[in-house]
Amino acid sequence: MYIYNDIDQRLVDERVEQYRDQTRRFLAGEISEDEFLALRLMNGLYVQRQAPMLRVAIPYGLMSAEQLRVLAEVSRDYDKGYGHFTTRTNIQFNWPKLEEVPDILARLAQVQLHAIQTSGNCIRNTTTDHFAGIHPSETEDPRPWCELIRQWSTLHPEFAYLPRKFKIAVTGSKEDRAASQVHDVGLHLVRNAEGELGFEVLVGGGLGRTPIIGKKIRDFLPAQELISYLEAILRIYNLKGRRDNKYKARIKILVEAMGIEAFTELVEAHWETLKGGELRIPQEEIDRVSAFFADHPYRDDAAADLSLDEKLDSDEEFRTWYARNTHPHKKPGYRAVTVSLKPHLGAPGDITALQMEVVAELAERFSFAQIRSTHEQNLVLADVAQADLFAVWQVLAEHNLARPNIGLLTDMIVCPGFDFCSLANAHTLNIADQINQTFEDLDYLHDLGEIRLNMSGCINACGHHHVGHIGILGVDKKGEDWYQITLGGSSREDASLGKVLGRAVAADDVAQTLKQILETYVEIRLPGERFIDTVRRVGVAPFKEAVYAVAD
Amino acid sequence: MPLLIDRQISLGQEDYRFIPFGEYLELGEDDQVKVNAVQVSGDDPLEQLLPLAEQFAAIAVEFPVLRDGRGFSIARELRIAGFTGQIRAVGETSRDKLALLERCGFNAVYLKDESFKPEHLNAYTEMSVRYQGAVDDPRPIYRQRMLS
Repeated sequence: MYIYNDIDQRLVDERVEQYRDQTRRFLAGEISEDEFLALRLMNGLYVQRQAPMLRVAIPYGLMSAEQLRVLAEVSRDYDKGYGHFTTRTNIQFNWPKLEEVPDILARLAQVQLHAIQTSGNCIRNTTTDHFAGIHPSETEDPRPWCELIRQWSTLHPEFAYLPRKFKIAVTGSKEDRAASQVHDVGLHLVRNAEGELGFEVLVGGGLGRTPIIGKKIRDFLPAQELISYLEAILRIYNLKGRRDNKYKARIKILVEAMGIEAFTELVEAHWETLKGGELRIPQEEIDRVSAFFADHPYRDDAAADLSLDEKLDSDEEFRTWYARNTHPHKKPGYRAVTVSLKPHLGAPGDITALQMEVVAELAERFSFAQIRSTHEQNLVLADVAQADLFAVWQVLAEHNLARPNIGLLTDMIVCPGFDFCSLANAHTLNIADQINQTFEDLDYLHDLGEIRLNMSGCINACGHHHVGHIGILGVDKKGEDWYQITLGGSSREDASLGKVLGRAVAADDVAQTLKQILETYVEIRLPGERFIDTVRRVGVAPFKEAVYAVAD
Repeated sequence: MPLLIDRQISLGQEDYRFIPFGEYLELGEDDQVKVNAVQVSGDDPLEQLLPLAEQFAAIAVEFPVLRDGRGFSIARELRIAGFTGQIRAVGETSRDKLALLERCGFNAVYLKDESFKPEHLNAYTEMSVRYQGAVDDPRPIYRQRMLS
């Protein structure tokens, strides 16, 4: 992974002191509430329902074991002993004290962590494929490009007061595990006919109250011009994006209003003045950054191990976990392991300090001391030799991190909802519990197969409900929580937005409604057909009928 | 209202009389040539300003509200277009924007803050690392490193 040099370190150290001074001036009454709001948001600090919330960046979801240990320490020393992983692959602490935040940041900076631009109307943490660099079908590793974007976007003087937040995702594979089509900018690493590396560039995707799939602005951008092209897009957006209504301020609204052709013309015309200039990334720099993401020293004889098959034969629970929570690796004899942060009756994405330390230790012993966070709110140990899988599983199971549910109904993406978030209209965590209680039977879950369930507690869509195979959106009706259900969404390479099933259902009826939907699916599915494919084949009508027929 | 020019408090006479760019466009040619400074906002047609910029000695860029960051890009565009005169930030400026403004090409700032203190000039030096190429130094970090 990328390791800071003294310049990178100096930047975060200086930023800590700058923020410390801003906090001091705010507490001394020298900065207005409104002005400090903008400053603290740019540094990841929200003031929430219960307490402030600090969001720490995990750049493109990659962290070291040492960093995860320090996150555990911070959660113990300054919070209530746990953290929450988000769909931007960052981690949030829900109970820090505003005046202690500078000290937290100073501690984080010692291990090259920070909270820069994890909120506010600026360029947010770039996200990528959680199997980057290891997936057998990958074209090119996206992480060096994420790091180049991280550096360019960090404290960019021109883009600190954008119309609205700005999110970039990068993929290096035909399979899209980064939801790149619902980002402000989606970048796909590709090679052209001449074999040169570049990006297919999408713009104007996003969720929130106006979900839109991104549109292609360029088929092939030479890789070295990545930064100049991003700068052109951002400059046009900064100048032309709406400032009068924050709900219409994202770039997707601008692209829709202008039309993709007109927007493309503006960007391309401006880019003409930038390309080939100072912003062009020299090959030496690409090589320098890429070297940080070189392959680990894998063992060439890892596949010769026979113990894995023995354990798979003899231990059914291990076999189930292996099938569900481990994934192919480009190196024979290795697997990627998903650490499930979706236990029975636990808040999705939450992790205790002890669990963080357990995962850090497993990473040190078995996975080259690195951990990844996924936008689906789990962790990944990406490089585990097959001979070590049983040992890894035992430790994970002991700490409630091995629920074999990855990709299944209970592997839900869920925002914290009304319990924590001051934007939320409805609770989400109680509904997640209700779903867990109703769908406890593992055999049934496995029979249902791959289902992406995403839930948000308000229209801002932090839980990505529009792109869930099943989406649940909490709404407030006269002080009561109600839930609107959508079917048929996807954030993958076949991205689509879910369609509303019908009128919202009451809080107590959510799991029961899901049950009716899934029973219908089981009845009408073709052999081997996934839930999403059934919905795409038959539409929402049969599901709607099953859910609402009785009442009507 | 202190005026900073090149990081210094300016106590001298105002050199310019800023005419809103919209008004300037309405003037006849005889009157236009007498104008040496205009004030623009994000709502003005930037594509009309850029080719005319050279004839002004100073351009004031308005920040109408705290969260409106269009001015940063307006200044960048003016400098990219080759404008070498004074670019002055007016409106909702603040101590914590000073360094950003300078990096984007502003060399003058009207600070709305009445309680301006000389230590506010620390804003210019608290961050010494510049990852991006900008007006102060067009080299992104990778080119700074190559030459250092």
